[in-house]
Amino acid sequence: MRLIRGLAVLLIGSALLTACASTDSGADGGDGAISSSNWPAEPITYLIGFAPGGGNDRLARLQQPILQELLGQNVNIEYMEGAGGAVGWKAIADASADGYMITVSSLPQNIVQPLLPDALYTADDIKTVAIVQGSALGLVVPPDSPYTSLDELLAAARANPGTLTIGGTGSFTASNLLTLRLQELTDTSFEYVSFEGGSAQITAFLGGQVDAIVTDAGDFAAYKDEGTMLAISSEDSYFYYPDVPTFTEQGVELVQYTERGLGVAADTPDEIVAKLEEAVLAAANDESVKAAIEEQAGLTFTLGADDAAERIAEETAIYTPLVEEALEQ
Amino acid sequence: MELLDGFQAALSPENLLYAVIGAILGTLIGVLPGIGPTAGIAVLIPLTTVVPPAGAIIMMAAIYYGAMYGGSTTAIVANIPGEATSVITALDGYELAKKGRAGPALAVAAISSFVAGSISLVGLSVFAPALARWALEFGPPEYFALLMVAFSLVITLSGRTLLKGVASAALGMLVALIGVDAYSGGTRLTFGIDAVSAGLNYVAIIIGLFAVGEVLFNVEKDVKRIYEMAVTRWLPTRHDLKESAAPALRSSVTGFFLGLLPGCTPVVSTMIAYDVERRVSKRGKNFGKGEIAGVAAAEGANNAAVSGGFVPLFALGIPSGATMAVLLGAFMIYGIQPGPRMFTEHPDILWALIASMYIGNVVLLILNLPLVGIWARLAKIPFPALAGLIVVFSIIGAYSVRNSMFDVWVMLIFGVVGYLMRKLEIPLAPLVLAAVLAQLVESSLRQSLATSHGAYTIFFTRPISAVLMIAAIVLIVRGVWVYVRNPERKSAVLEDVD
Amino acid sequence: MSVDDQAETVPDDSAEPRNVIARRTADIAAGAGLAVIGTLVLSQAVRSRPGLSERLDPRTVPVFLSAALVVCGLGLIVAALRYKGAGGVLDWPTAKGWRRVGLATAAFVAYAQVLVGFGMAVATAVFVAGVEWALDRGSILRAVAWGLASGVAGSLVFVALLDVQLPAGPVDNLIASLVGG
Repeated sequence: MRLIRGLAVLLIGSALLTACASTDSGADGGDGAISSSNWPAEPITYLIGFAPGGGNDRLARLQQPILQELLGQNVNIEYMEGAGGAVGWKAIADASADGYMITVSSLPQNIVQPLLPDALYTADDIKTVAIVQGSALGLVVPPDSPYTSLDELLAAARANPGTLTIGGTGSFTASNLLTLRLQELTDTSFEYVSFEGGSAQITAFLGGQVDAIVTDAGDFAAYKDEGTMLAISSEDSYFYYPDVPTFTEQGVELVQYTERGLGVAADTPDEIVAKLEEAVLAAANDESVKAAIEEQAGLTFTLGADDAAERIAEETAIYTPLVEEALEQ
Repeated sequence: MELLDGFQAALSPENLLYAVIGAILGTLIGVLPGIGPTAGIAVLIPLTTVVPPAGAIIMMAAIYYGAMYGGSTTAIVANIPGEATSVITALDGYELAKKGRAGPALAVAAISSFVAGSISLVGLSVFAPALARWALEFGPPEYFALLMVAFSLVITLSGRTLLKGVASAALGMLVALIGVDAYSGGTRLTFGIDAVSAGLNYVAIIIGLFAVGEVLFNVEKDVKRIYEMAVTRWLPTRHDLKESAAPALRSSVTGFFLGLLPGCTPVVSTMIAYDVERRVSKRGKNFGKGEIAGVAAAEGANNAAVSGGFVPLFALGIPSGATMAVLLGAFMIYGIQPGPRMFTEHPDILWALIASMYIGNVVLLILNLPLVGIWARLAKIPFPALAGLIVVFSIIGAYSVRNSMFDVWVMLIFGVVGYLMRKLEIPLAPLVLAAVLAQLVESSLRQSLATSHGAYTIFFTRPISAVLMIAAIVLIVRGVWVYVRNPERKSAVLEDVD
Repeated sequence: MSVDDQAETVPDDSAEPRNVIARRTADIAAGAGLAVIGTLVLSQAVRSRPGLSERLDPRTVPVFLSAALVVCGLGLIVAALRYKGAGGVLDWPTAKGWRRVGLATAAFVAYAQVLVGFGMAVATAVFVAGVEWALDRGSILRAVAWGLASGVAGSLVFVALLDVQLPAGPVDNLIASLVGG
């Protein structure tokens, strides 16, 4: 009985809080003036541009309780999926820069999507407040693959250009970019097969539908016994796959990470950005958050707004020519 | 017996309570258009911080089942399919309701769901790991061929309205392709309108076409009552049950096996199972005109497909749809990684969940049979009083999908489109089904062609794909042939019989 | 046969006269409409940006589908012309019917529009009451009572319990606080 009551109180309580929340935001901001000194005066919407259950969602859910505690306001997670996350990021770009709408910013997507024709938002629309999580990418072949090393795979690709298939997730995504860079650096060519997402890719991989995949180290964590990772794109050996050699160690100068952090509309006042930055970095330093990220084979970072901007600039310099070249073909 | 231990755990008063709460919440969520199980479960994920893992996961699974069931309730009573799968249920269910037989239709839906749930439970607990590996044989070419089989249904169901049915399906796919193409990064079919570059949401389209279109249709005719006849009885007759038994059983098996395929959404399973049943059943000719067996087939298939979807989730950690992905997310919050290792690392939770699914089905049946009377009573509300409410439901449903008014406008536009299509005797179901499947069709085609380096022969060189493809071609050619020989032939499911 | 081709009004047992048109006419119109839509979409489909080195050009599927739409539309016209006679009749709205549909659509749009400003409870109460009265022309009191009940229930279920992020007005907050209290 206590349980029912507890649950009912909980359900109604949360319903009530959000109902009040929507009141204020629904008032349509007639008062206009953004006050950054008393921010946050109302609940914050944490917008995820993907379906629930994905990597961005998981990160947001890890941060949510800590952000709520530190900011003293409710943080409500909402979803707006479409166009590989671009629909959600467009919503952030279009939102008023008052700090009440935040999102998970992702690299390389936030760099590459604006470079595409018909882009829904520009790189200047979103400010990355911090970068807190990341992972490298692995090149994986099935257990029964005839190729047992990167060299063997590359040699085969060189001998018969375009015959080997590499599965990835989407076009102009991390896995696609890594494949493009690998081809350029090693003078090989693969047939790139694009899947809708990590689980479709893994399904095809387990079913032997492709010769190799380029996969996020985190996505592959649960399947690490189901395939052989020939190389990983981290700078040094990756903690979760200590025996896997890096690309660099095998003579291919390829280092690439995917990173996630917190993003807001670009014109958000500095004062608000500073408060958010502090809160999100505190969440990133939380031991339980770190442990949860590492358990899923993720890397933890604590890059603030300035460091994040630097990192974005570095990566932009790498990806821009790559994308432009790919688009010209 | 691990399953018995599971039952013991699931039957603890606490977990039983979670199953009941989940079933009720789920039914409520399912009744409301737009708030599907995915959103419903996602909203409740924060609960996982206070509820123990087994309880929370049991509750979420119960919500899933409850929502599937609730979705068919509105489809039957008011022709508002809350989910794409309910579109098929509505084909016969709403016709039955109009004849005053909403009660039996709802009861058969509940019973059929229960039968399907029970059968697939056996499948799930006995075959899970082995079947999951089998399902991996399905690559992109097989999925594409399977989708072609599903589409052949549009042709065979359309009969005299074949050209209109195909046009409706083509329109549906085109609508779904509007917006940014995730593969090339470019926008398609936007006619230069920025607002649509994010794509149109298919839930808004379904609600508009069916619910609002139907309201406009009745408003035009100045209808005072939707239902032609008074509600005669709430419970199905023995005859109804006899008619439904075999279809429920058969479509459960079909639905379960198709549900195993990670890339096969329950919509496809339901479409195919319904068509199989239409061909096998001796009353198949009346499908779409208010045949109770049609409701049994659709409901059995979609429930079994849902249970089937748990197989790849448990055995491989692969979610077979958005809702499964949310469940997967919830598992991960507890540090449980579904996959081959789940059977050894967390057998207690796994078997408790499997047992609780079964209990959830029992709870839903017990809950819903008495509720049937209440739902069927909706039939007594005069249309003028109901019309406004249906529109309110529709607008809220469309709004809550992405919290945007844009979806509401899309929904209203499709309401008018649905009305006009109905007046011109263009069937609506193909449009919706095609819209839901469009992305899947295109991506499986793209992936197939990439793995074959551009050769279309890939669909015929792989055995499973070849069989399915030939079946699809035979069905399509036969349907077209029948039409060409006699374009005015009557008797098909998607026609308006008035 | 030529008589069938024209719209005609036939008496019906209901109060309002029924209006029917020949199926041939309707199908020719529908076919033409579909063909036009197909052509428009086709003109957009060919204009999309060509794909990368993808094996499936992003234009292929849309072009195929819009071409199918054109073929179906033209096919429908041909089939309709070959009907033996008019191919039967189908229901078509009377002038009154069109007016009702138009008014209803306008009311739906208006409701969606004011929902943001007035909040769930108020907008719904007014809308449901209005629709009830307009369609039934019965007791105003009953319409108002029904509207009020719907407004409160709607606000209770959607805003307070299911926390749909709808624009809430003062009345909704009152209801929510009553539930919570």
